Amino acid sequence: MSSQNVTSPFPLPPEFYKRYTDENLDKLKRIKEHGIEAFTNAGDTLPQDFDIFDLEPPKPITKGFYRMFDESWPVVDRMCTLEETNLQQLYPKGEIALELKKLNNSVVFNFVELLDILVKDPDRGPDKCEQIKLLLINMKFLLNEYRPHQARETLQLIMKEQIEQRKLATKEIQKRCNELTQTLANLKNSWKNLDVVKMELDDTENSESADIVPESNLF
Amino acid sequence: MQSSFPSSNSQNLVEASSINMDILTQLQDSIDCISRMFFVVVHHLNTPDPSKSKDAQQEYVQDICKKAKQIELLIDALPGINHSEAEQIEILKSLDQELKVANEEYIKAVQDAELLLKQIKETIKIISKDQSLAFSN
Repeated sequence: MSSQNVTSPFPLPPEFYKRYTDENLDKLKRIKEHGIEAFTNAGDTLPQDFDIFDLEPPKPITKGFYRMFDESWPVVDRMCTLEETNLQQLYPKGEIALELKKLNNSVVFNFVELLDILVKDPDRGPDKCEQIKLLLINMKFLLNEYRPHQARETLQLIMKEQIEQRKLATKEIQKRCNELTQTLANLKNSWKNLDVVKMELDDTENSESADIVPESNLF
Repeated sequence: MQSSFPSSNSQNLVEASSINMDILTQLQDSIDCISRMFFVVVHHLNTPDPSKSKDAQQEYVQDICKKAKQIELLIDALPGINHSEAEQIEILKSLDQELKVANEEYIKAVQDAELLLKQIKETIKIISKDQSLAFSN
């Protein structure tokens, strides 16, 4: 069965699943609640061929490297420096923009030299190519290092836009509220006037039903 | 390869956050482009071609120079090229504060609006009740 695991394109799942019986899970639960001594004192036996705590999921690793899709990734993810990849770092730690421009000029200059060398002494050509390649790799590397900086800048833009939107929404709401408050106030006034007119009407009509709803109390 | 030059140092968000239009990616593409140009030139010089016209040579030279200049301009247009990392963090902190204030004001405006809505509903209720009373008499 193990050979089937190794060579088949659809390998069987690892045998661990057999450990997760109801009985074992129940034992684990009781051990976690009351401790191992109470467990063994009660006469229960731990499973023999594996540690009962192996039923729990493994803790995530906190340092070193892990493998995923056949590649090795550092747990604390960061970019390798040029020295780590055995490439020479050509630029000093100064300002990125300046260094990039210098590298850019070097690249073009070296290319001119390359053309020259190919004409006069073609055997030295590949060396020159390597030099240009190193320059280009350095440029690319500098740009990669700049990415976090760019990310922070983009975050600034996003936040500014959010603030603008929020302020705009607030202003719109306040404008509408003011308009409606105004309408409501006008309504109140015209109601009060109507009130007066109604009372005059009722007086002149000598209506017996004192059915005047005291609207003035409502506002 | 076409690439857009930024009109000012403060790029709009769409350009900055797009996958292929942000300055860094444009720079990376330009570097690839110029190395491709180098290769094309060397290849062209190696192939025996009787019609090696001056014009074609001029064109190659111009292309390479233009591309190199483009790279330089793009470098100048890198976002936040004049802020250090610490300055950036400071700016982000103050923006965060500003956003908090704007949020609070927005919430307050919404609450005022809800209060007003309640008042309006009450008014409508009173008016309609009064109307129905008036008509039923």
